[in-house]
Amino acid sequence: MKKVIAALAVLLAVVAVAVVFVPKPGVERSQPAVYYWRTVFKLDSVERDFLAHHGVEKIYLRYFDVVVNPDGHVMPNATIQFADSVPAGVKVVPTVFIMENCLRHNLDSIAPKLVKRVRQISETHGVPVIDELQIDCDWTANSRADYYRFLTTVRQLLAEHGMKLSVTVRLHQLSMPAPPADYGVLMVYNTGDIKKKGGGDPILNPDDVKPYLKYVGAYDLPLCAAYPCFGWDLLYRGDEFQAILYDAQFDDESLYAPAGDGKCVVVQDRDLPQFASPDAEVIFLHAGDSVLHRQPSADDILAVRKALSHHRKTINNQVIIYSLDSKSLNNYNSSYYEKVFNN
Amino acid sequence: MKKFLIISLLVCLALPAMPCIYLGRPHYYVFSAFNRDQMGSTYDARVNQFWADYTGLGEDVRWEVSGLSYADPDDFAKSNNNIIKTALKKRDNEAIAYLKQLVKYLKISNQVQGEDWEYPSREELAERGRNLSTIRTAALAYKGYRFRPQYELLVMRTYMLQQSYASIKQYWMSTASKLPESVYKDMMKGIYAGALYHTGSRDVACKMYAELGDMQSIKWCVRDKRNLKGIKEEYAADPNSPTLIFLVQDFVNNAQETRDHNSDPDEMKWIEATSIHDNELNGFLRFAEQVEAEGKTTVPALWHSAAGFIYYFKGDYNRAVAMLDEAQRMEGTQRMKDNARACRLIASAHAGNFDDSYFDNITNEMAWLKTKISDNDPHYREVMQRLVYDELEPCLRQNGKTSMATALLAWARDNGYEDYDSDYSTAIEGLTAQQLLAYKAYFDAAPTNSFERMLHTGMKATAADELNDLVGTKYLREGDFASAIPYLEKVPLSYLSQQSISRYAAARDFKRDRWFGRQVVDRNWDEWASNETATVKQNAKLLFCREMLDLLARYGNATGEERLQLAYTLGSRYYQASYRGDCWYLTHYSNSVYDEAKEYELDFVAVARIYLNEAKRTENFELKQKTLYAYAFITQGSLGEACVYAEHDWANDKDVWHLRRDVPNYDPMLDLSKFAKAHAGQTASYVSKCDYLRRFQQLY
Repeated sequence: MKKVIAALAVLLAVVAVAVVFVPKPGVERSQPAVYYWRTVFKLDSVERDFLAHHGVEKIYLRYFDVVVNPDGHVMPNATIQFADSVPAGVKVVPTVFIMENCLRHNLDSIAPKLVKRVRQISETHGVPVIDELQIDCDWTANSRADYYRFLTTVRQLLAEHGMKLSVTVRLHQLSMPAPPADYGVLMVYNTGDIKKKGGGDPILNPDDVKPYLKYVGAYDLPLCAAYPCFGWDLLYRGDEFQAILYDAQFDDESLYAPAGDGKCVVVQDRDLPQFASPDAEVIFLHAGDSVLHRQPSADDILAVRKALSHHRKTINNQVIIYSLDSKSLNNYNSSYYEKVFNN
Repeated sequence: MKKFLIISLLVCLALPAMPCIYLGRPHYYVFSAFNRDQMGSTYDARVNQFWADYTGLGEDVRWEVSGLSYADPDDFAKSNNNIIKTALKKRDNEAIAYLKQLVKYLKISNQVQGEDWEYPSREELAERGRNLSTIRTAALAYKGYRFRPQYELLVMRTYMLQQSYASIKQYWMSTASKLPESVYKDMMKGIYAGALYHTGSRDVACKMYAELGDMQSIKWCVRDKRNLKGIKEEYAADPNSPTLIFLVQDFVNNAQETRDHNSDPDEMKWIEATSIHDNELNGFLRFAEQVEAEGKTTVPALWHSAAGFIYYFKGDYNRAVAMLDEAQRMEGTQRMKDNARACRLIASAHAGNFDDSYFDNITNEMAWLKTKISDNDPHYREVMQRLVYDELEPCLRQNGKTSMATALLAWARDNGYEDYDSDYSTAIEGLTAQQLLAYKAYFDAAPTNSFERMLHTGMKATAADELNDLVGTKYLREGDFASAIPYLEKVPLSYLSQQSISRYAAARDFKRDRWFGRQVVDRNWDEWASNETATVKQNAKLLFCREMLDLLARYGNATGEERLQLAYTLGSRYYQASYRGDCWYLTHYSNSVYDEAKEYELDFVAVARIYLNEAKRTENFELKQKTLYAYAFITQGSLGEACVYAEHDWANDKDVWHLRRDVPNYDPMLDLSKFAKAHAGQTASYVSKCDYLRRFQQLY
């Protein structure tokens, strides 16, 4: 009898240890993936080669944004246009970005419209979708309850069609209870404050990530990670942030002069139409403005990747690169992507 | 007083306050070889004109045109749209048939370009395509004359919605390009240019946009050529490329913007921006000479005027004037020649000796500029504004012609060139009483040159009441109460009752102490601008001056406690009449929390402090208590000068109070606190119940 009790005790202990130390799950159907965040789906040869070379078979494709329009209505905006077909063998996860201010509105009627629209876009354009929808939103503690309620509704609606729900998770959201979704994508970029001219890299600074690592291990949602491959040209007037320059041609010596250390200065006033920016706005450059190029080093990104693995072993089972864009992809060499993608 | 006493102070009458923030002057571009407002809206105006003529609705027809997309093409009978109603009323079947196709097209266009929760299915997209084809078929089938260009445009538009660029090109070449000139043809050309752009023929598209004057499209097309290098490349490709007009104009305007904006010259110099900028300007001057020498350009006036205006930027005004004179005689469009003349006027404001010939020239050219101003093209109005506010007025002032400069501002305001209703009133506000009287004398004298004659005849005459009130008020705020009285005595109550400040003058008593309570006129609207007026029963300014003369005289003769009591009263009056007092209307015509004493007025707050500081020496308990309280009150000041202040703790949603000892308010509060503690149980309720004092004592 004593032997039986002892065996039971051992078994219980093993189970208890297993419960405590069982690794948090990664995402299902893990594979190298990319985000596609432009408004027209059209791939050039660099982008197609990238997908093929790195065996990327999953694209998280931004379908549209949800915004509050000038009339105060919650509406879709900047819907993707398909000017190209999705490469053979590549599947798509439709992704929708929701502006946080939408959460102040009643979204009960929006959830079914959103799900229906996503499904219709896929159907109309014959997009080879994975049965999943991803929602991206920079929610905060104030909007969390409304957002989670909205996600719950969306998830129920998706379930009726056999679809899963994934969400993006920003570092600052890690300290709060996990959202009701099937898995989350930890956005390991945009970690700093773009408005601080003298701060570290606003795209990814390991020091900015450190305070959040403690939450990663216990986060109660399957997680994968998204890493950056982009850089920003940030315009400042004095110390005041003005804009991200998307179309800057720094070889125009009549407008920019190099000032060393990845910096250049504006030498002449000019209005700069930014058709490549999300809002197609016009930026006014004033003589004396400075432009700082910010781009995290491959070493920093890989260091953060390693640290995340240390705290959550499965988090890099699936890695997503933000974003598939030939201009950005060339910022890093091939070995960087191999290291980021591969465990 | 002469019949044209031109001290027009309508602002003071009509407005309760001048702008409390400086908006800055716009940097209006002077160089305009082509109308930079030529954009898509120009199409709208011309298209609308057709429907305005058709309906007789005038400009309001634009609402009907934009509302066409809401009409039901299958049920025109119920439509409220006045264009449709007019066509039905006229039984104009040709127009009705066209409108039906147009409405169908507009609906599809809105669907394609708009965003809706309902996303079209594949079948719906196919149907949309079929509908566009049907519209196109109907358009192509039209055999009439009246709506021919409109139908041709519909053909091109339907192709564009379907992104059928090859069809657009083919149709333009075969048909549309052969149509007579019209706004519809221009629109078709714009569509054709778009098709070219989308199919890789950027340069050709760009030239077409330039020919159409489509500024936004050009700007995008030549975004990498907006510098001297780009101009040189474009010239090398085609010395008469229409794009060059845009590029040269853009170059000159950018140079102007840089010159105007150069807000931190030191930083510019440090980063060598100035030299880079100057190098490029010099490079342009050399290149313009080369272009003219080669003789390939058909518009040397463009190059010569651009170079001439760049000399103006460089401060070589005489050379600028000479070149801009020459440019007017060179080959170029009339717009280019007019542009050269307008630029010359700007430069000539700085080139001269302010003699008769200078003023004759300025007057003559301003008269010409006035003839060029029209509602359709705001450019020349902007040139006039730039001339008046940024060139001529500062020049005159710098050369000691203060009254003439002020008169110019009055002329500009009275002729509708003032944007913010503040330039002239700000100038008048900045004059001392003596300067204002000198300004009056300037107009009492006969004009001495053509420019003065223009100013005198172009301004509204102003009544004596305004002048007397203003001069009296200026003397009052300078503390010269005796000089103020003769002017204020002449101002009738009826005039004062028209002023916006009358609502304060009628309700607030300068004999009450500010620190014992604010005199509320309207709790909700006291701090907001209002045009409300009130009937005043006495001239408060006049009473105030008389009282102050009496108090000052008695104070000068008094000794001991009587003098200290009078010091307190004088402190109270000065504070109450200051920009921080309730009775600011005594010294000002407007009030803002950002106000402070100007150099041209006596600092009433500072004077109040001096008197109250003296009154603090009293042995009288009541007076001591009041004075300590008053002194602590007035040193709280306005923004950020109080020694007790709160910060909000957002995490716990409560105010956290702090004490700072490095502000002028601290010592007076300490004095009051010590007094209150020393006389606990004896102090008046305004001391014993003062929550600010209690907070101070908790934190001290």
